[in-house]
Amino acid sequence: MKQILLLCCLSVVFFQSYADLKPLDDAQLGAATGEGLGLVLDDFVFNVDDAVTTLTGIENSQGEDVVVKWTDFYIMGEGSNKGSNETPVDIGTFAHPWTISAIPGSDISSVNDSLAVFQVAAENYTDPLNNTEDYAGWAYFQEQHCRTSGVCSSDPNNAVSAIDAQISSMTLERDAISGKYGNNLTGLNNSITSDINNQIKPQQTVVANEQDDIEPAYNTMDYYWDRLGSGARNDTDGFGTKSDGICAFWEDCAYKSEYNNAVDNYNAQVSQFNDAQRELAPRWNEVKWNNVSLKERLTDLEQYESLCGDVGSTGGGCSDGAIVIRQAQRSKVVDVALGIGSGLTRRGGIDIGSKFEFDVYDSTTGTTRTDYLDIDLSGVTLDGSYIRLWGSNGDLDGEINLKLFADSLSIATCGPACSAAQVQASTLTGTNVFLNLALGYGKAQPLKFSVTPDGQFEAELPKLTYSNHQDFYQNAPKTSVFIGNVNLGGNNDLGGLTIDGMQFNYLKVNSHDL
Amino acid sequence: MIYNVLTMIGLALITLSLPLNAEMKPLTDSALDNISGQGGVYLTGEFTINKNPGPLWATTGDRNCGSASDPKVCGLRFAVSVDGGGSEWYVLDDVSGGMAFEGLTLRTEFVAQDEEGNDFNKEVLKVGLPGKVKMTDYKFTFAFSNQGAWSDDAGFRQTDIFGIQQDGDITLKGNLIMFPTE
Amino acid sequence: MSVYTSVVFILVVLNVVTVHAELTPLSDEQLSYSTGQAFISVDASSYQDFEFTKINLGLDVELQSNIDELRLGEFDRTGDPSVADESQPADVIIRNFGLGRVDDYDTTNPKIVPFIIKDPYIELAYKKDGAGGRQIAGFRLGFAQAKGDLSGDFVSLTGNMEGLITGSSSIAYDVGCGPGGSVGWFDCLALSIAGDTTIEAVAKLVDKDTGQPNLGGSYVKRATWLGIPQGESFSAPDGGLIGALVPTLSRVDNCKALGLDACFPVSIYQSFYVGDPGTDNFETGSAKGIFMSLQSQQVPWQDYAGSGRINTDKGAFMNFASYTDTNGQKRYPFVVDLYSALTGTTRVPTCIGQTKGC
Repeated sequence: MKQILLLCCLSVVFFQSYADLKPLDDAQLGAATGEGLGLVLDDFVFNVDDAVTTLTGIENSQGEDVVVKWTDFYIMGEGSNKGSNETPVDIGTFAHPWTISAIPGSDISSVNDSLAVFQVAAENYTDPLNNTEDYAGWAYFQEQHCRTSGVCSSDPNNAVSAIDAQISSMTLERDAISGKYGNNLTGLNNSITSDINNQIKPQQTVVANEQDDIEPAYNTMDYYWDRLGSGARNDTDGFGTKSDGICAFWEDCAYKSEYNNAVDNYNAQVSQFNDAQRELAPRWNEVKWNNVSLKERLTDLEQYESLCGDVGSTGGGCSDGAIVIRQAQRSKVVDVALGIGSGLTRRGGIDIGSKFEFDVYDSTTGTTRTDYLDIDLSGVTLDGSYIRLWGSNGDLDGEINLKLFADSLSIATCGPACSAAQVQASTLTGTNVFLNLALGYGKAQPLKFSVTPDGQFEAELPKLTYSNHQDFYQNAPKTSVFIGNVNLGGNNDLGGLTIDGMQFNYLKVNSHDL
Repeated sequence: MIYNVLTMIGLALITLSLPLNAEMKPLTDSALDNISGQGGVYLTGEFTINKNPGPLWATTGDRNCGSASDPKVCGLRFAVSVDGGGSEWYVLDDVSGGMAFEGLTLRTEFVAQDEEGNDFNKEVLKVGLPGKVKMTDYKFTFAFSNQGAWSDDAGFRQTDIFGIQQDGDITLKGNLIMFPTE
Repeated sequence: MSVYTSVVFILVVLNVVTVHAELTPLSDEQLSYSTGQAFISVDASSYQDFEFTKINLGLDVELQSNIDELRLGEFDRTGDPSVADESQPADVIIRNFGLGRVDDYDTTNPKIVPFIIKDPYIELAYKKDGAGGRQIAGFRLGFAQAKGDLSGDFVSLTGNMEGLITGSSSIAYDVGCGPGGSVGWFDCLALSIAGDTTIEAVAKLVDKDTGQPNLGGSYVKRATWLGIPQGESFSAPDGGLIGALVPTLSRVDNCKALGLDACFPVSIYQSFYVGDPGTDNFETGSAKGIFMSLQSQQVPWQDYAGSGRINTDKGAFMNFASYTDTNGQKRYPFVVDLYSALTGTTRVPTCIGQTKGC
């Protein structure tokens, strides 16, 4: 009873506010304290299979339309067998809902300002078995173990062995470099800095100065070549060579000597540049400290620092670097392995898939053919993903972090006329697929997107500055893509694909008409 | 596609307001006693956009969304600007077609505990999805434009990025549950 | 925030969008103001048993980025006779892969110089099974044009990487016949006669043991060495008497030419410049035909920088090959000066405050 009255009032309130539409002003948004809306999709099934959907607007290079039929799109629960068994799924739960909220910028370390940030976020899980990022890390090392040792059993501790092996080999490498220089890494660092300042930089300036002399000399030579008399020109072997024959008095010998002097001068400038370079280049190999060349020292130091962090900071242990990162990841991998070992299972994921049919004009045969593309993701979890948007100087700035893990990604290209065996043989399957896409990092490098009415768009991650770089390198999330194994038809293994730790100091993408 | 779902739910909720608004009068206690059921609302509806041409483009002479040889009346146009109404507009153009569903339910529930046994103690709004939604010649085109309104000014530009046309039954099952979070 | 306010908020937002439709009179010329997008197009072609579908993206991309590790084609190649280095677990392994560079990286005013890519495309190759079905044979990501610094710790490489080594023969003399040099007196005499002649050679991925770019009938996989292939030599493009002698004097045998090493571990090259570093003009200075691909079997990809096909085998493939420019001249995606070819190239900085590993 009460509820019906409440609903009536709800609609009245709605109707009244319809008449008073105005955007929420800054003061009202300022009052939003991070509260939001929790969303749960319970026993959800979405399937477009009975509806015919056509996508228009794609053309080929000749400007003819490519008809794309989107013949299927489904979102169901894990175990739906590519959408054929209607299996309901829970997307978000009361304990772990998806949320839409307005957050004060000061609560987000990358933003750190009093503006309001609009956020749409997937659910959050902290236990490593369910946390997508942690679980994907375990799955990656489980695959590593299978590849490097050939032991591919389902023992969850294989992943721990694999990450231990990697940490140990990195530690050995670090110790080898350190030992090479008698553990005196500070001395190594100082020797490199001193050599670069005293030997390399001064000569680099000389090289740059010599290089600057070349263009004017070239231009002068070009100037006189354009004016060179035909008689004189005939005595050359082309532009850049001297006019070295005898130019008879009845021929046009205009500017012959000016041109020849210009060629000499140009060659002299090029020669001085080459000499300067030849003076610079060997210094990398010949300037030595403890009998090790500058180039080798620099390579060793860079390798040490990428493994162990800055040399200047500590003595002994590693402050930062790949070893520390792997050690932190190890504890998560161990937690996942313990969880699985004690019989815990991961929550079920989502199955998502789409089928497309394209009619394309084959330019080689001159006929139209139909391409089929069937993409299915199974056991998808997205927890930890979010999109954040905020306004800045009239622009819309954002931060996207998409964490997607799928048990498998399969792509089939055989149409409905194919038999089951043909479909099986033609399906490309990737297992243990993880995409961690991080674009934008608060105010240091917001993701900017804009469109033009000509149908073009521009996406930008602005250039990183000196003042932002430390916070960015230490805290900004990196993008990674990992596919454990790719096989065709179930037996033709193409192995794994890894793009680990991708980060942009700058990115700008502009579209244009083809 | 998700966009499609949210648009449908949004539009469905708009539809919800209209019939109730047409019959606003207080329900007496005796009338309420005669209502049985879950304490929610069960809806069946059909929502058609621009099935017959509207006030904006009454004929293909006003604006033609087909071709010269096959003229078509245009559908609805939505435009959103993210830069305060400047020249950067995202447009849903030529939106037309029908959606029909039966069995959309709306009710509130009190949930005491969440799935993990922790206290939850919130009233949630539960929208029961209708199971099947029938799309009849539903279509829209997504475009970028430099003005919100379609116009015949020389400076008006719009570029269509892609279009969707849909006809048939879509399965949409389950419940959409909403509640406040802190 | 109560349930009602939340729901109202959503409904208000959904309704705001309708307010912007305004009533204005319209004319007949509407169609001319509305056009279709043209930054994505789809093309199809075929060749023998293969069908190809190419998605072209009309994009101009500028980026300066780092990848900690890139690994492609990580699978077991035991028994494959074309493998150059059997200890490598993957076809392509590059650590600290950088695109673009940062000038003045250790000052408070660093300058980011991006890598530029134009018109990337994605192409799928299908193999017809002869019974009405088809399977995916390969996938590639390519760039119509690219220009900029490319850096990395190259551990394993597979594909077609063609670099032009060019320099003055006097550098070879300095390195090989100067202090610490190991060139014999006869070759040193020849080099000293050659003087400042410009000499050049094409370097490719080779097998360290044989100096060959092909093994077991196919291009080398998982190569860890780059060099002038066995039997090839330097040439002197300017000709002349010395020019005619250079090829004979510098024939490569067992990875040596003119007494100098002609093959080097790829790890000594830490940075390359893709395209022509001597010009800022993107059109004339960009390299063409670059792509990375993955195949499940042999696939003859079309060469978009030339006119033939590029035959690839199962696994990963990186194509940084020579191409013919609009003037009919052969150009190489990266050019290394002779001194750097002999001693390696240092890495250009790709981070602010450090050269790599950020």
